Amino acid sequence: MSYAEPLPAWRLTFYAPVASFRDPFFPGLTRGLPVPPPSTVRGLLAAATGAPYESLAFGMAAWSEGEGVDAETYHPIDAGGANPAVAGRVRAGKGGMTLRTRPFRADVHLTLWLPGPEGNRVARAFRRPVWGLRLGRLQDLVHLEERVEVALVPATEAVVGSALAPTTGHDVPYATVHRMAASISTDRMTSRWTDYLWCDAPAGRYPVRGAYEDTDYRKKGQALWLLEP
Amino acid sequence: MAYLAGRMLVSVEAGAPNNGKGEDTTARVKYATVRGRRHPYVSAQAVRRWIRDGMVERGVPASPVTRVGKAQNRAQKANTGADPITYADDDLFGYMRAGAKKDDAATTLRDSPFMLGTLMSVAPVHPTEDFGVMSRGVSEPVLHGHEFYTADLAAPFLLDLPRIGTFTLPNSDGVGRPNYLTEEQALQVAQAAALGAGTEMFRGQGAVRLPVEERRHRAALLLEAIAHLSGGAKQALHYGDRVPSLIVMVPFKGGVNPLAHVITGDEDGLVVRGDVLRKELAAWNGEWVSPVRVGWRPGFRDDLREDFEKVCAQEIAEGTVVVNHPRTILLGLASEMREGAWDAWFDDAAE
Repeated sequence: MSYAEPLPAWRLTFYAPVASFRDPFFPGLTRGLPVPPPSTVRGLLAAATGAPYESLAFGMAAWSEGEGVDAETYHPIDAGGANPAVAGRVRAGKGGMTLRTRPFRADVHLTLWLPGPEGNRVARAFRRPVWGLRLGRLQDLVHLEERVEVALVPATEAVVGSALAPTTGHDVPYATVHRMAASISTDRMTSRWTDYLWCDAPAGRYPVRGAYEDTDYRKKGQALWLLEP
Repeated sequence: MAYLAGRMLVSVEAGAPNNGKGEDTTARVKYATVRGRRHPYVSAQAVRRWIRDGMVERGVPASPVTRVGKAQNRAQKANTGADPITYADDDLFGYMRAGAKKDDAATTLRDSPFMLGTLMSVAPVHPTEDFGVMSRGVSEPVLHGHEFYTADLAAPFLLDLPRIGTFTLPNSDGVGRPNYLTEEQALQVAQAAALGAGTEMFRGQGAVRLPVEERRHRAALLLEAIAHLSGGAKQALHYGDRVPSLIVMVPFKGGVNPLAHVITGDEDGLVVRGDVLRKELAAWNGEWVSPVRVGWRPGFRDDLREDFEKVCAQEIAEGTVVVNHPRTILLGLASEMREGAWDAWFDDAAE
């Protein structure tokens, strides 16, 4: 597949009223990521196909309209039996019942571009997903809003918007780097970490490198980068 | 047929069913900030607890917290049963049983086949801060405050019917999470054998499966618990009915939930979109099974109900959309399940 050819792809748009993505680099704290990591999206694709793992390259853009911090009561059960649980509740104190904060995003929007024959196979699976579709935790149900076929054109200048890009993808001055899992092995023992550029406010037209453009996305050329696992 | 997709709405009138961290002497309700406005919510784990407690109140034996073993000079160790074969709540709501490092015990977990989102207010709401004084028999009154609100809270849910009473086993390459460590261990459970459980392949994984009679009984228990929903904080001060005022349920062949925008809101409050429902049903034609069950409490937003029934008049006349009291809908579906009318739903749809 040469880089100059338009690339047939499926564009899928998702909406989650509430979703929460924990940053694993902060053990003991619950810091939230502003966007779903690509590994989370791979899990969503695998939930649709029923396969243990999906390794196709895909483009993604994500943003959310709101946020909040939930308070969760933890009842950890002491292995030594010093503080036994009664009816599922544990006494407060050191190592006992505690309140944890959990940041979450509200009205999360996710757009995926699934290119080529692999993308075709995965996109068709969303007609009847094998497993329930979730983005983030068990409670973060996600709704599929749109599934259309598009053509991706290689671009040198395009609207960066809220797309995830490799660190070499563009030079938007206020883009921030987020280190996130690109993929996680099926036994969940190893993660591949990658740096991604993301703009918390959608960026306008900029020169881009190694990007494709979806010309009919919201009536303007949206840039996207194909992310490898 | 595999999934029961739905969306439910709980109408809270001057209530504070779920509260966040207090500030000084003021108890705050939980809220999210969306587009700069406050939307109160009830967290998913809180509602799951209400449903779980409701099942116990209705006589379903709860998975016990047992104390087992005698470690060196420490007393016992406590763990929940983590036994989804015996206990319906472990089966429906999942668990994580982490083994102790020093015993080198493995961890088993089950993620819940019942997925429920956050009950989020459909419209922005300013919670009221109530001012309180404790002055009985003290010379210096104690001041305190708490927030409460009136709002319609909506949440999506998805019930993975084939996975109820289906417990995956580990496979050699570590794919999938085991609910049981070994096949023997699962089948050792006396009840499992007595119930006639067998091993089979489930979505590409080995699994122990209870017979359909038990599985449909458990699904019915869950629907009945939602029909009797009650619970939440501040019941003495802000007593209120928590049975859903509005609920929409459609069985789907895949794990999708296209009902996001059927029950939604704008600046003025609740919006129920019959036209969205019709378009979604048309778009997903062939993937769902009639009828769409709509539970609508009499007297709850009759103006919206009139519009909804006008827009969906054709479907209601054909019987593809059924509108009734939420309890009638939920209990009716539960009893149909118990009679075995929907046993086909408890296996994945054939291609």
